This record gives sequence, C-alpha cells and structure tokens, in this order.
Amino acid sequence: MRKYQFLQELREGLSALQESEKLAACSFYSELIDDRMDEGMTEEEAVADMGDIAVLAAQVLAEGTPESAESAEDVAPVAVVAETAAVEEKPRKGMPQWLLWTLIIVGFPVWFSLLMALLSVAFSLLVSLWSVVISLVAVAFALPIAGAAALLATPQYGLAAAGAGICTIGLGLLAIVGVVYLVIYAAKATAWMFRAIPNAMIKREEKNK
Amino acid sequence: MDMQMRRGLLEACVLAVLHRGDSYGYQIVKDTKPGLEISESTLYPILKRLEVAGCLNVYSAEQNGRLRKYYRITGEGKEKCRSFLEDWKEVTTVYDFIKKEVQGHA
Repeated sequence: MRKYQFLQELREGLSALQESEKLAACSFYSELIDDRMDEGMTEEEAVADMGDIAVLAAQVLAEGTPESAESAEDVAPVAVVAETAAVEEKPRKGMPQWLLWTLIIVGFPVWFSLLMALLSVAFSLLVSLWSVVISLVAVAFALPIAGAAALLATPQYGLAAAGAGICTIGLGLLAIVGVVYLVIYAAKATAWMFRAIPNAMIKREEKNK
Repeated sequence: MDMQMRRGLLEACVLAVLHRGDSYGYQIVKDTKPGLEISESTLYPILKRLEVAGCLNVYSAEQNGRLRKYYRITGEGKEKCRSFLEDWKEVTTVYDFIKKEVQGHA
C-alpha cells in the first residue's frame, strides 16, 4: 500500500474525531513512515510496518480527547469518543445545499407571486405618496404666481386685488417652506423603503440558513 | 498483561527513554524495544497522554527537508520517573505477599 492510501484510510477510520486530532494522528504516522524510508525501507515496507490501520484507528479513537491525564483514566473511552463525535456533528446540522435549491425551485410559484405582491404594494404606496406631494408643490407654487398675475394683468382691479394678492403670496411662501420639508421627508421615506425591503429579505434568508 | 498495568509501564518506558535525551517517534519505538515492545499504535496515544499531563514537550525540527516532531521530558516527567521507581518498591512487596499467599495455599 502507498503512504497516501494509508493516510487516507486512517483519516476515514478517525472520522469521529475532531479535524485537529485527525491531522495530528496523520502527521505522526506520516513521520514514522518517512523515518523508516530514510533508513532504507521501501514505501510499501514502511507502510506495512505500521500494522493494521483498523487497530491504529481504534487505539487513537479509544483515547479520544482527554481533558487531562487523570480524567482520561476515569472517563470511559467510548464516552470521550461520543463527546468528540457530538462536537464534530454540530456544523453538519444545517440544511444541505441541494435541499435549499430544490425548495427555492419548487416554491417558485409561491414566493415569486408573494414577492411581486409585496413589490406592487410598495410601488402603489410610493405613487400615492408622491402624487400628494406633487399636487401640494403645484399649489404652493401656483398661489404666488396667481397672486402676482392678478396684480399685473388687471391693474384696475389690481389695487383692490393687491391686498388679496399679497396675502396669497404670503400664504404661498409659507406653503413653499412647508412643501420643501414635505418633499425632504417623502424622499427620506422613499429611500428608507428601498433600503428596508431588501434588508428584510436578506435577514429572512439568513434566518432560513 | 493487564491493560491498565501495561499502560503505566509503557508510559514509564517512554519517559525513561526521554530521560536520556530528546527523541522522536521512530527512535522511541526502537529504544524501548529492550524494555517493553511498543507498537506504533500504542505509542501515539501514550505520547499524547504524556503531553497532556505535562510530562513532555513537543517541538519540531527540520530533518532531511521535512519537519520531525521531537519530544523532550519536563521536570514533571522526570518526577514521574522517580515516583515510578519509588512505587515499584511497594509493588514488589505486594508481589511477594501475593506469591507467598498463593503458593502457600496451593
């Protein structure tokens, strides 16, 4: 048997152990084989000298991860191995990749229509918000213009209308100030919506993982 | 030989070999042969146990273009060697007692 085959089989035999322990054991036996080859043994001979891989693996497994030399003698080796195995299993509990993709594809009619509904609700909210804003902007600008026009177009009534016109200009200026703030808040709300929707989706995805 | 007893003896053998000077895996296997033959499968767990117990330190040194792990005995390890020899006096007393009892009744 070649050295790499030996190490591969040993790794498989130690699959219940933590990765660092597998590596440590493999490097130990790799070194022993190299030392024998340095002494003139062939690779095959050196590997054969290691003995039965199952026995090696069983010995390493039986020791498990002792927390200290004393406790290793008290704890039954099987329990130590089981404990290490449990630690090893944890990261594997997540959903396998293929299942995730199958769910995404099979669930397409459901999640796609829900996504579209969500997007159209968001879009209609945006449209209604901005239509109110735009009409108020139009009113705000129309008021001073109307006031000025009334003053200039009909001078004979102008004087009479001047009072009303100036009042209208004043109201209009106030309205512009209010509308500017309204536009700013509407823009902020829109920006928030564009950020919040993708964020919510990403978070949900992370939760599913 | 009883597993537990063999284990203790093997640990003492490895520490005794390291008492002479730093050594590495294959050399330890060869050096302990006159005492108790240690197979590769038993040496690895023993070295690990001794390291965890603080009886030896591990360091790497280059050898023929690759790294080799060397083991060095600590003060604690030397102390364990001494206490092993001390304990053995007790063991021989127990041995004599058992022998006398068993052969006396036989």
